[in-house]
Order: sequence, then structure tokens, then C-alpha cells
Amino acid sequence: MRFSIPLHGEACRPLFRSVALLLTVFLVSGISAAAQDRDKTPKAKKVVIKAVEGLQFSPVRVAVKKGERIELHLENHDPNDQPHNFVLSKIGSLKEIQTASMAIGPDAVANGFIPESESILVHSKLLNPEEKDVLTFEAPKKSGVYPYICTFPGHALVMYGALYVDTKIREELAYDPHVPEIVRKAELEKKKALLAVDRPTMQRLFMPDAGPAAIAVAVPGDLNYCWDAGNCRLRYAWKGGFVDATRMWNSNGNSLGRLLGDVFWQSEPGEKVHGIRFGDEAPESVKFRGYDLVDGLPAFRYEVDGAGVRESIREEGESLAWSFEIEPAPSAPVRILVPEAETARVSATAGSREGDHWMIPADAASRFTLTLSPR
Amino acid sequence: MIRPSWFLSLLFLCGLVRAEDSAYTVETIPIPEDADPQVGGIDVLPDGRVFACFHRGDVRLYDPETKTWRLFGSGLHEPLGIVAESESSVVVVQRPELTRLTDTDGDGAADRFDVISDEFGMTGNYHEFAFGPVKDPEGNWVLALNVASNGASIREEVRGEFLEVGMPREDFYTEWSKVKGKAGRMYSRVPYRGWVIKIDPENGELIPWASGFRSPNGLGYDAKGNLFASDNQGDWLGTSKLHHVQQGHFHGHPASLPWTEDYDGTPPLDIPVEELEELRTPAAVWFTQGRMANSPTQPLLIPEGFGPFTGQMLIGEMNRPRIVRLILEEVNGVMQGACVPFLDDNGLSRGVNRLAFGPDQSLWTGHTHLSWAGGEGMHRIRFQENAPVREVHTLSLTPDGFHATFTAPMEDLGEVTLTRYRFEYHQSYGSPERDKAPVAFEIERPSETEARFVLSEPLRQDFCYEFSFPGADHPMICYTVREIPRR
Repeated sequence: MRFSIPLHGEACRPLFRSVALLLTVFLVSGISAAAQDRDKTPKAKKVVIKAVEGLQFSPVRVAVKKGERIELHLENHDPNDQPHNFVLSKIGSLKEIQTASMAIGPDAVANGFIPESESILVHSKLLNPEEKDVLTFEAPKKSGVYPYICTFPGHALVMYGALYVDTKIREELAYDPHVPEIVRKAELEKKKALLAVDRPTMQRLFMPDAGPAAIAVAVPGDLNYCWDAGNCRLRYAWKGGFVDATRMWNSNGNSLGRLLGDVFWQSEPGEKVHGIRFGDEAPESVKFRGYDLVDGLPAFRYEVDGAGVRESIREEGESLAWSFEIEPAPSAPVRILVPEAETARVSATAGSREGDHWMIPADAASRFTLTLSPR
Repeated sequence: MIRPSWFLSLLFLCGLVRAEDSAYTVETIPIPEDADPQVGGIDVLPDGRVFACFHRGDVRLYDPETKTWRLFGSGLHEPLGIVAESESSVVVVQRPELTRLTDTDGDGAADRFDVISDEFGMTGNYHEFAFGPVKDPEGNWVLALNVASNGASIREEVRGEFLEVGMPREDFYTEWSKVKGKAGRMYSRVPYRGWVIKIDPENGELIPWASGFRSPNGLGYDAKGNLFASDNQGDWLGTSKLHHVQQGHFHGHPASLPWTEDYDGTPPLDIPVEELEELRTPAAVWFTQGRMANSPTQPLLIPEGFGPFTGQMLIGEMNRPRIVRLILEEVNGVMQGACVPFLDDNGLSRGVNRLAFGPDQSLWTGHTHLSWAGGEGMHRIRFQENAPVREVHTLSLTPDGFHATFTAPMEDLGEVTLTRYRFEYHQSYGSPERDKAPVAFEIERPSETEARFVLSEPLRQDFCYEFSFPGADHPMICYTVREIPRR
């Protein structure tokens, strides 16, 4: 996706601007004259929300201003002969309304299957297929995200949307927690081609749960990891797709990359945490030197208190083989930070677990490999 | 019914269609389909091939002979500058580091990535871009580091020492809209944000060089080895500027001051403006906002063979399809001078971010925008030998006015006008043009290619003098007066 470039006024020559100004003055005066003739009450904002196939509202997100008069046109276009209604409720009340809707019996047909709840702000009648309704109301005065729900029995868990009141819609639809999972999944599906990567690959970008100098790596298969070039340590590994960086690409870089899978192992958080120790103490200095690409995967190079470390993480079957080479050969045991996780198995070519670390005896520490496997 | 010819002349008058800047032709370079066409850096090899780095972190090599691209490296974090050392080695500045990419096995793609320096801090704030690199005459790398913007906070984890200035770090993690004012519109909490720094190429040592920058997206040297950096209108910048960067100088934006060696702990926002005024080195050139340039970028020396302006500098501009020319001089030991549009439209995109000359003296431009005004892609600009160029060639200050020379004989200068104004130095964003007034003058013509303007009032320091020469291809030219030559 690329940014379109809006034409700015500055690009115009002065004469063009004065012509434009004249036109604007002319048009604006014409409009205001016409407006004076009309009713003084502010015009209501017309919003159309349809019930569509698959038990969904379309659009699934609507933005309005707080206190604004809304003329809401509801239309049931569900081809599967389903009745629907529309319930707008307070911020954060989605679960409550969903639960309440499950409790209502078939005799609630008389009141359009509207559950009893103090959280309900506005609701429609029950709309039979191809039926329409118009609700006129004032948008809430408090900014925030208000759920709208179909409470016809069996619909509420999947059929809802979000009214953004004086709140900018920042989240991409694919990741918006205010819309149903099925909507998010469909959006992600649409992005699939865009998000596909040729493995192996790597990308430096801002990542969640890491320092700002993060590196994301996709190894062949479906395993991925995040390595932090700040303190030179592995931060976490995940299984599934790689990273969605769309928002970063389409903007100034403010957004974090988004993992397209599930983290199965994660290290300790903290910008002062080190991944490696020679002996018992945390190192005094860790210096990132760069990386070499070996078969498309990085082998990181860094210095820990003067010793050179080469660290690489590759696929090995369904696991990650996490290898270290240290020069000169360590004279004390080496400890690698690898906290236990319920979703991962950790093993190594030498040494044993010691709390959050894996301890490799000095005589085996010049070259060793840990294995991280999702379980 | 509107006749096509009328319609065209109407468009022409409106500035939508312009007479060609015929002396300089603009060719558009095709960008590979799989690249994001925002160019962060551009450099040309002695054999004419062009390295460019792109928004999504890839580095590619373009062969103008075959018009083909080759992917050299990828995965970098917002690279915003490149220096081509050879066909197998480039140096790139990206958000986290200055990095050398080397093709060690000769397959045409980089396989070794060496950190030259990552000694500067990062909070993860989006506005902390890293710009450059250029080489100084001694061979050091020169970079410029953006300050953070309070359009966003900092990340949970930062790199480098975090300095608590006027606001504890915890506050950065509270409701941002309530505390952002305290951070400063632009802020520098990790080392050397808002500084121009140098890197020793041998040991990677970081040398803090000069402070006081806000968004210095562009570095360049003139023929005498003077370093220049542009900076963007905003808080403390009444309008965009070109700074003559000098070691140990403070160039005006106070966010960077906490990283000064003898910093006394006063939050930059609490330092009285009079004190800052004493400390600062004012800009060499003001770019009048809205007319000359809104976001100037990289200054670049013009080599021989690119028309009549050898030895002057060009500078890119983001908001218009424009390249600006700089006419600089030293007055009483201070660099100052004029800026004048060099090329407008003529097929050029907006967002001229990086510029580089090839061995044939053609000028390559790389364009970007991110989330601001700008453009995309690349152009190659050539000078047409013997094409007429009617421009103000030089504009220099005299004790009582200005002396202009022209690139072609101009018997009739037309109705030349002169206006002066100044920009405020203050914390608020931007500045109106203050104390603006027309200036009367008398013209002396020693020859058809020069003119002297003797002003009816004494020259004023720290004023911008804007001429209009209707007889020139680009009539507007602005001279920023810092020093006035002695009689």
C-alpha cells in the first residue's frame, strides 16, 4: 500500500490562489445564504448501518462526534431470512449485553428481543428481512468506543460493531478488538499476500517487548524470533506468520511491528538485562558489532567484556537451534538467560539449567547450542 | 465553450503549467515494482551506477546503461542516507546505527553488516531519525540526530543513558496527552539527540560536534570544507534554516542542551530566551516559509559542468517540486547568504530528499514523504549545454546594499522590488514575518551583467531581504543578513 500525495496549496502559484480564493468566497457566501433560510436546528448526521450476510453489521465501525445528532438508518439485507435488531450500549458493556441477550427467552419477541440492561442507550425495533428503521438520537457526550449489538437470540456473540464517539479510529480493522473476530480474520486474509515473506528473511524495526534496536527474523518453516541489538540478546520466539509492518510502512515509523503468530518462548523484559554471563556476574560491557548473512540468516557478532561472541539461530526440524561461538575460549562457565516457559522445551549440547539461566561449563563453552522447541 | 488554447493559457497563468526550465531536463527513473518508492539515500559510483536505499530498508544498485536494478541488501531500519564506497561496499545510516554493508563473496549482494557506530541513544520515539552520512575533510563520518517529538512518548525500553530533564521517566508512561507539554514539544532524553556528531572511522568513537538542531535532515560541505545542515521550521525555528555547523556551537534548538558537557541541569524549557539568544549561533540562511521552502533537505556542492553555478550549492525541498540554490559568502568571518529557486516543476516530483552528482555531472534526486508532504521516486537532471540561463548568478552584501551579477546580459531588469522582514526566535511553532516593509533603493549598472542596489535606509542585521527580479527565470531571491561588511 502506498501513500497518496495530497496536493497542497503551497504548490500553487499566487494567481491561482487568488482565483481559488475568489471562487471560495463566492461558493461560501452562496452556501451560507442558503443555510440561513433553513431551520436553525443543526442538521442530523445520516448514518446507514446494514445487517448483512454472515450475521454481520456493515459498516462494522462508525465514527461520530460527541453530542452530534444522528439519523441512523437501519436496513436488514441479510439474505438468510434472519431478523435483526440494533442495540447501542455504554462503553465497555459488550460482554454484559451479550450475556443478557443469552438469557432472554422466546417470549421477548414482544419487545424486539431487547434485553433488560441499564447499559442500553438506544435500540431499534426488530427488523424482519428487507425491513428498515430510522432512529434519531444524540450521540453520547463522553468520547469513547460504544458497542452496537444485535441481540436477537444467538446473534450477539458474533454480530456487533463499534461506534467511535469523538475517538479517532487508529487501529486497523484487522486488529481492532472492538470488532468481531470473524471480521478481523477476514481482513487479515485480505492482507495475506501483502504479508507473505520469502523465508528466510530479516527486518530491523520497532518491535513489541524489545528495545528500539530490534531485529525480526523469519527462519524457514514457521518459526520466527526477535533479537535485540541493544543488549545483544534473544527476546522471544514465535510460531506462525512473520510480521505485519503495514502501519510502519505507511507512516513515519511510529508503529510497532505486529507478530503474526504466537509467542512460545520469551526472555525477561528490561533494557538493562543481559543475555549472557561469563561466570556469575552480569557483563560490564556488551558491544554490538554487526552480523553476517549465512544462507540468508544473520549470525550476530558482539563483544562481551572483550570476548567475541557469534550467535546464530536457525531452524532444526520443528525447533530453533540457538548456537554460540566464543573467542577466546571462556575460562569460567557461561550462563545464557533462558527462562522456562510452559509453551517451550529447552535443551542444550552441554550444561544444565540453573534458575533462569542455562549454565555451560567452561570446557564446553567455546562452542555450544541450545534448542528451543514450541510444545 | 472554452477553447483549448485559452484553457491552457489560463492553466499557465494559474501556475498549473509552467514554462520549462529548459536549461535543465528532468528524467524520471523507474523504481522496481517490489520496492517502496520512498528514497532515503542516494549516491553514485565513479562508473555512473547509482546506489539508493529505500523506506522499507532495502539497498539497490541501478545501472543507467541497462536501466536495471539489483538488490544489494535489505532489512534495514529506515535508512536515510548512503555513501557508496565501491560496488561491493556502502555505508548507510539507519535509525539504530551507522552500518557498512559489504559483499564479501562477490555475488552482488551484501553478506556482511558491520556496525560503524551505535553509540547514540534511541527512545523508540518515531521522530528520532538519523541523517547523513557525509565525510568530513579528515575522513570522519558526520551524522545528524533528530530530537523526539511529543507527538508520541518513549518506548518501555530505551537504548543509551536516559536523562531525566524536568520530568521523571515514569511520567512518560502515564496518560500522554496530560504530560506531553512537560516533555517539551521536541525533546532529547538520550545521548546526542539534536546534535551533529562525528564518528572516528578507525575506532567508531563518537565525537559530539554541535548542538541545537531540531530536524536536521541534510548535511553537506562546501568547496572550502565548511559543514552545513538544514533544519526544519517548528518550535524555536521561526522558519526553516541552513546552519553553518561549527564545533561546539549551539545552533538554537534548546532540547539538545542537556547533552552539553558542562550542563547544569536546568530543563531547556526553563532557560530564558535571552540566555539562549546569547548562546546560539544564528542560521546562515533563512528559507522563507510558504514561498521559498518549508522543509529543506540536503545541501550539495555543484561541480563543474552543471551550468553556470559551479562552486555554489543546491538544497532539496520537501513541499514543492523544487530544488533551491544557495549563494553563500563570508562576511566579517560569518557565513551567510542567499537562496533562490533553482528548478521548479518541469517534471520534478516533490519531496527532494537526497541529491548526488554522477561522474557525467548529472544530478540524481531521491524523493520521500513518510507521513508529511513530499513525493516518491528518483530523477536524473541534466544541464543542456548552451541553453540560455537568465538568473541572478551571485548576490553579495555591500556596506550600503547589494551587488548582483547575472548569468546573462540583462539590459532591462524590469521592476525590481525589495522587501525586508525577520523571523522570531521563540518557543512557539514558526513565526510570522515581522517588521515587514518595502525598501527603496537606487540601481547602479556597472555593466549589463551586474547591478548595485544602494538602499535608502541602513541595512539591518538579522533581517531577510527578499528581492524580486522579474527579468530572471526565478525572480524571488532572499538574502539573510547577519553581518554587514565594513566600509
